[in-house]
Formats: sequence, structure tokens, C-alpha cells
Amino acid sequence: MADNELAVELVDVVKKFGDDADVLKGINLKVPKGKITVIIGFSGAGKSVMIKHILGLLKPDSGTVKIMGQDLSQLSEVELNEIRKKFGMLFQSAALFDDLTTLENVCFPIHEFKRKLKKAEVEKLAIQKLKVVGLEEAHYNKYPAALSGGMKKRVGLARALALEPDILLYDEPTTGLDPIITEVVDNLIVETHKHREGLTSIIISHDLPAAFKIGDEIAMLDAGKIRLAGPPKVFLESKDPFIQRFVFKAKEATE
Amino acid sequence: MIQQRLEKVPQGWTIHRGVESIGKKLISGVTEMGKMSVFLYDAMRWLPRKPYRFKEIIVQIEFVGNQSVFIIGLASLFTGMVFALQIYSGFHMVKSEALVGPSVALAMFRELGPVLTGLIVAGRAGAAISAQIGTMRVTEQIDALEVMGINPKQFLVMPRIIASIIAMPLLVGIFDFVGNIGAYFVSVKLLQIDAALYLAKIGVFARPRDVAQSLIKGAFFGLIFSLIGTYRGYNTENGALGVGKSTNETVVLSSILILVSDYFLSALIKMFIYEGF
Repeated sequence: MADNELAVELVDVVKKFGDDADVLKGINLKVPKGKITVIIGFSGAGKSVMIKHILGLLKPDSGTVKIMGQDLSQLSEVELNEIRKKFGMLFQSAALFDDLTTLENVCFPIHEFKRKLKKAEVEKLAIQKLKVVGLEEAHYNKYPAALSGGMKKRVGLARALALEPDILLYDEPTTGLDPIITEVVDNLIVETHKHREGLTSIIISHDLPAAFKIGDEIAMLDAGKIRLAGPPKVFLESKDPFIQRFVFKAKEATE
Repeated sequence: MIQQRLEKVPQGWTIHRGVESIGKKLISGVTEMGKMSVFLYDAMRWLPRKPYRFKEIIVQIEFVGNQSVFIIGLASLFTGMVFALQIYSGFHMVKSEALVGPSVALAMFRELGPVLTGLIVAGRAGAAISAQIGTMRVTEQIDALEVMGINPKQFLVMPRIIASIIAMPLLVGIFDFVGNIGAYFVSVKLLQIDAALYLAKIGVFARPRDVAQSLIKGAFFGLIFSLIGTYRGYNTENGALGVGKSTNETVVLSSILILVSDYFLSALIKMFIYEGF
């Protein structure tokens, strides 16, 4: 895969904290532009640490992280902030600002980076995003504390979409949600991806069936390393007993 | 029994452990001070950079300053009143009741105003700053800001520190003024000290430099509690328990540092303002 076809590339990324063992033990990962890539890993596999490297919030001890071909280690703090504007992120907890209403939460990044726009124009853009994620108008003036888990995810996703990002990151988007809402969120991810041409979606998850359902590419993170990466069929054809067990579990959950 | 137990302790053990413990605390304290200084530098270097955060600074001045006015007014009124009441009896014995005014004024300007305002506002606004930023940290709201490309130190930390440095001298001014009004009321209206003499004596003893001392100390104490509050909040870990711990540490550490630094600040002010360079 050519460099200009990659949204994110991690090359031999190693990270350890203090005297503890390495959390990332030489990660190699290529995320193609315009596709949905699901990174699967169980608890403690290093998913959150890896996501922070992709966002430039953590620096690797060794190895390189490239976003759209740019090596993050070569960028200044201001340039890093610019790169981060290419990202939208839906956090596990949605991470909505408690003191802002639903609409204000979505307006916030637009207002921050498009300061010349008038309040009405900012609100119009925010409402467009809220409509994309299917949130009803009745909830626009509610504070996050008054929203259900599924609604919070929708608002978080609308906020992530607010600045028209090139890369959308989802950190465990369905964790803690009931099966019905999980399906709704999974569909929402696919719909959102289709809605914007060229959008790269990266989903960090341990939801095995969802990985096969929505992922164009899957990468399996195990004990700080990528065990296998490729389209779902690569996983189905794998002879690795660990991967076979994973595929079996996924099939079992779907049946 | 105790004697027998003490004999079993290896010689020098207690002293060794004691010195080690003090040493560890000292090193950890110095390390923490260093980290806090770097944190302050990191936050303040964003002050002259775009986007300027005037709106956030104004909002925080309103929170730290305006919302503290009532409690500061109430505390200072009664502090002035009780102080006048207590020292009146002493001055009455030596027939120097007129000195109640300048005594209250000087005590208010030099010590009571800045220190009590610092302690009260550290308990109210300092704790709130720590809890708010701590909650934002544990609920990933600070991470969300970073991912959006917004520097949280510029957006959250710097405005709170600048606002506290601006609001505190104003609050100290209110404390000094209302405290003296309280003392005037007790002295003149209740204890029948001559009003003209009371005010004249304040004019003789209290100088503008005393008021300046009050305001300088206020600004410094504002820096102390806002820095500790933002630093502790920003580095909060372990969910709700961590938020409680950060808030508690902010109030305790701010109060101690306000009292300790008051001595050194007084000595410096005495050296540079009162006695000249």
C-alpha cells in the first residue's frame, strides 16, 4: 500500500511507563484512507495507549507514528494541534462538557475554530450534525446529565463530526450499552462513514461480532503487538489457533 | 515491657528511619514544587498566544471574585467588629482608645485582610477549581479538548490563574474596607470613641504602602491557590475518589502555603517597600 493511501501508519512503536513492562512492543499498523478499520483487543492489550499515540497525546519511546504521511515526532506543539484538527473522536464516555447543553457541545468546536461565523451560522452547522446522527430537536437544550447513554454517544459523534474531520476515531463506542442500542450505534457508525466521502474511521473495540459486521479492515492487538491485520476474510482463513478461537467466539455471538 | 521492646530495636534504627522519612518528604516536596513551576510556565506561556482567552478570564473573575463578595463582606464585617471590641478593653486601660482605629486598620491592611481573604477564597474557589478540572480529567473532557486541538492549559488553567491574581486584590480591598467599617461602627457607635479622632488617627498611622502591601499579598495568595487548584485538578487520577483527594489537598496545601508564605512575603515587603532598597 502506497504512503499516500494511508491515513495512519505506526512503525515499530514501543512504549513503556516507568519500570513496568512494555505496553506497546513494536506495533506495526497501516490504516488505509476512506475505510473502516476496527482494532480489536482485549483489556490491557494496549488499545488506549495506542490511540493516544495516534493522536499525538503520547510520544513513543521508539518507532514512528505518521498521520497522512506526516511524522508526528517532527512536529511542533502548534503543528500537532493542527494535525489534531484532522481528527474527530467519540470517547467511550462521550466526554461531553457537563456545563454545556447538547447544542452548545456541538457548537463548541465550530465556534473555537471558525470564529468569524455568527452564532446563528454556528448553530445551523451544529444542528446539521445533530440531524446526521439522528438526535431529535427536543434534546438540543438538555444538559448531558439528562441524556441516556445512547443519546450521549450521538451527541459525542455529532461533536466529533463538527469540524468535518478526515479521520474519525471511536474508543469503545458500544461498551456499556444494551444490545439494541449497540446495534443502533454500529449502524450509526456505518451510516456516518457513508455520509462523508473519504472519511477514515478507526474503531477501537472488543466487540467481536461488530468487528466483522462493520469493519473493512480488522487489526488484532494482543499483548502490545499486532497479531494479525487485514480484511475479515484474512481472519476467517487464519490457521493461528488464537485467531481461530477469536473467530469462533465472534460467530458464536452472532448466531 | 516497653523497655524490653526498645532493647530489641537495632541501635540507630529509629533515627535512621526518621531521617529517611524526613528526607523523602523533603525530596518529594521539592520535586512537586518543581513540577508546579513547570506547570505554571506551561500555562502562562499561552497567555500572549492566539486565540486570546479574554472571555474565559472574565468568566473566571466573575466566579472567583464576584461570587465571593458576599462571604468576604460578611467575614470581614464581623472580623473588624470583634477585633475592635477585643482591643478596645486593652487600650481603654491605658486611656488610648483612639488607637483602636489605626490598630484595626493596620492589622486589616497588613495581615488580616490578605490572609483571611486568601484562606476563605482558597476554601471556596480553590476547591471548586480543583474539583471542576479534576472531574473534567477523569471524565475525559480534558482529553476531548486536546483531541480538538485546543490546549487545555490555555483554555482551562491560564484563565483561572490570571482571574485569581486579578480578583484577589479586589476582594482584599473589599475585606479591608468592610472590616474597617465594622470596626468603626463598634468603636464609634457602640463604644463611644470620638469619630473625628478615630479617623484622624487612622490617617496618621496607616499609609498607602500598607494598602499596597495588602493588595500585593492578595495577588500572591491568588496565585498560590489557583496554581495548586489547577495543578491538582489537572493531575487527578482514580475517578471520584481522586477528585475528592485533589480537592482536599488543594484546600490544605493552599492554606498552609498562604500562612507560610505570608511571613516571607511580609519580610520581603518590609525590606523593599518599608525600608527601601
